[in-house]
Amino acid sequence: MNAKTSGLIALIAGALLAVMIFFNSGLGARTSTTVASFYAHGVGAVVALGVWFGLGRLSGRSERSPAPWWAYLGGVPGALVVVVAAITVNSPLGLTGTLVLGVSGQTAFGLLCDQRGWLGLPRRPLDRRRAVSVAAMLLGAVLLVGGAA
Amino acid sequence: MIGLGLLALGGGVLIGLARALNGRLGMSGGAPYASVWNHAVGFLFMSALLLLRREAPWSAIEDVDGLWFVGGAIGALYVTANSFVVPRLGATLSTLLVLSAQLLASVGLDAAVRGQFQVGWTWWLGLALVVGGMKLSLPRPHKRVFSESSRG
Repeated sequence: MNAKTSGLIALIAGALLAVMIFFNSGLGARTSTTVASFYAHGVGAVVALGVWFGLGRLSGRSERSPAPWWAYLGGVPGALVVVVAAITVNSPLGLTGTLVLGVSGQTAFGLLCDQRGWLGLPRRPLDRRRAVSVAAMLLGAVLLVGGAA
Repeated sequence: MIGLGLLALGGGVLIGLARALNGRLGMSGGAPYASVWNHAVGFLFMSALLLLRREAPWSAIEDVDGLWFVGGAIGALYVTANSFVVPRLGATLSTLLVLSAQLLASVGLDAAVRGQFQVGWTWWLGLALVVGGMKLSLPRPHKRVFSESSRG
């Protein structure tokens, strides 16, 4: 598996995310944000179990040692995001402000993880080429948010 | 307003934290395993929140078309793909690729639903910067060894 294939999977993940948000916010509009997130996680858990059984060992492990206990808690910040977004999107910040600040927060946190090897991820310090690439993509993402609004 | 701004920034950090934790779990148990735990733990968390708010989830969905529940299934695939790429591309590049594709796809979805595609010139500039940044993020052929995990 080369970097291009991994990059393509990341792009597919982003497209899936957009479709997921479309359906989940539609469900939220018909029920409530918390109820929608409750069902989305429930359905997601069942489908993820199916994928896990289906793919078995073809699942891309890269580490032999067991995961630390805190690595199992990704669902907590993931679920909290829904609650936080419901507050900020319906504030003067709106969807655009929420997105721009969210993009910045995500990228800053990613940079810290890569730079320091936080949370047991492989260390990947920035070189000049990667710094330019990150800056271009970040600015581009902000313009994509602003330019579509 | 500053408080709201910090909250929105914190929302981004939460997304990054979830992505990194799921990526770390995927390194040991595989990406689908990380997706199972992400959704199971999130489900418990949301159940606790509903209990706290005394909100019953049953009556709220009586008249809702089943189609709207597809989001959860797509989310399971999203977390799997996300957890797969984080250890391979690093947190920053994974974040920016996922984000860019998400922003582009949401404009496409919007256009498909509303039947019109309308963006300003800054959007096109953004697209050019994102594509340029992506190209630059690919390892140069003779340096491939350093930017891709040997077991990937």
